[in-house]
Amino acid sequence: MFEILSHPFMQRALIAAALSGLLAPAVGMYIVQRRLSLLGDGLGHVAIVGIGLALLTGAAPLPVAAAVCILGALTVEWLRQSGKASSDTGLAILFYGGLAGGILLAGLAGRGTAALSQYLFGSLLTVTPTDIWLLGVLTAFGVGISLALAPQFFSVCADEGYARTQGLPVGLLNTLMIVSAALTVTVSLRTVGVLLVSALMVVPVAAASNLLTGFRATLSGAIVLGLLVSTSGTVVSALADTPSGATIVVLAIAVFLLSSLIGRRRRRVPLSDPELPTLHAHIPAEPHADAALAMDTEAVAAVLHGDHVDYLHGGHRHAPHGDHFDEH
Amino acid sequence: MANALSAQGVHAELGGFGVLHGVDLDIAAGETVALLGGNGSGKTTLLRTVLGLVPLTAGSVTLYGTPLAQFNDWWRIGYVPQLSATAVTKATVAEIVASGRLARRRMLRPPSAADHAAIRRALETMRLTELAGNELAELSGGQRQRAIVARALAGEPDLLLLDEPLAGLDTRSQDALAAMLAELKLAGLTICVVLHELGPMADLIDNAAVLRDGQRIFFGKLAGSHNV
Repeated sequence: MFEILSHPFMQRALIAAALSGLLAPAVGMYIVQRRLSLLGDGLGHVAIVGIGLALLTGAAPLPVAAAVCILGALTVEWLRQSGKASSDTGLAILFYGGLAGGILLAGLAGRGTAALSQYLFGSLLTVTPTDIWLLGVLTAFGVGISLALAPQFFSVCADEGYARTQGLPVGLLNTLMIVSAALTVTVSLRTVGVLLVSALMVVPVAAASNLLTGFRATLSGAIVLGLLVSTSGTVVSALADTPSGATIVVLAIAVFLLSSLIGRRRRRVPLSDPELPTLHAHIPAEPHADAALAMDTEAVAAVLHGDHVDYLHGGHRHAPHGDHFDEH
Repeated sequence: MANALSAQGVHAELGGFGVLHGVDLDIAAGETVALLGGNGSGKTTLLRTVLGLVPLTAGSVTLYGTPLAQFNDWWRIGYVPQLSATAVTKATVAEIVASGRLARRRMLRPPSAADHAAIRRALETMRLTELAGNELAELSGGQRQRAIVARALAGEPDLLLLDEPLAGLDTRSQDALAAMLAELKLAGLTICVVLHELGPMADLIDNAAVLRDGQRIFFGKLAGSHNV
């Protein structure tokens, strides 16, 4: 087993896998909280345009894919923020425009879809030393942003409107979040490929969420799980001679299933309140045997009082208050 | 001294339809004001407009004497949105309450001792200390409502704006929340609360604005209410 690790291409494969394993859940955590789980998929399809463009021009695929993906991410966020398209429609346009554009460009370059397939499903063994540097820089940037701005991102994910009333730069934070997602797609091109990148963003987060309490713990747990499944999946794929991307994702889903079983076993204690204060200032109405009856009949005149209805009852007014009536 | 909140001739639209048609609202510091009205009367939109969440199409809003567009002291404003509109995120009570402190904190800096103390006090005020480590998803509606009030309190605001805080709560939870808001009022907080019905809040209200079809049809004291 350790013999495999002595090959430089295998070492590069492991480093690349570890980098995606770190970055994808760190960014995926926010994407999942925003209920945008398919965003990674949409951006992955946009990256295909970048790869098609690189094939056509003969440029290095990763930088071109990164640039195109970030551009696509900014477009989608602009569409969303300006309300020109719902996130749903925006994502659909990204999906199909990206896929069709990429295939078209690859065709124009005289290369069929076969040339694209290594990027669709990942191909860890083709990682070059230059790729490692680029992946390292992009990962450091993405993970750095995700952790450094965690309190602000959390607030935006919990309630965007509330975050706005706290003077947070919500537009900027959303843009950073989506650009980080674009970086994740680029970093994962070689590892799991564009069609499976969303799985690496979503599944470790879902698994950690089953096992841990709270946002911070889940974020940390998801990063650890992402790192574990991506590196162990790479080793397994080398030993068993299976496709790396698919092996990593299947392993991640196995971990998720296991986490669901463990999570279900956790005891849920009903949460009781401490002694809560009660209002003492109001005066309960003197009981009348016919008070309830008066609610149902039109024998008493109802008068609008503010926004509620008072009931004229024997010359004085009663207002319903829970299970009794107050004098008004 | 400038009013905590002053809105003059506020017009606002939602999806191209006029919702507010020239509403005035003044809230003096220390006052508790209720915004009342039926469904669709514009009370929530008015609250969201004075917070800048819904754009003004005409009229003006000032917070503590500063026009809304120039207002930057957001820590002075504590906003409690409708519970039903608040997503249950993966978070502990302490985490969601801590997120209410961000207006007082600088980005990329760890929270100070004062930040931790304010978060602790907010949890205590809303009787949530024992639930601080629990997930939001595990809480009852009443507890969750208290958590988002505590989030607003973590910023140590001067003005608290609440959107239907009693909605969906059982009588006991409504009563307890009203009692906690009464404590905040006594401590000097200015409060503006959107209510569908007064319920146990009746005794806290100094003045009420009643809206109908985007216009204010009443402003003043409600007959029969007696203050704590």
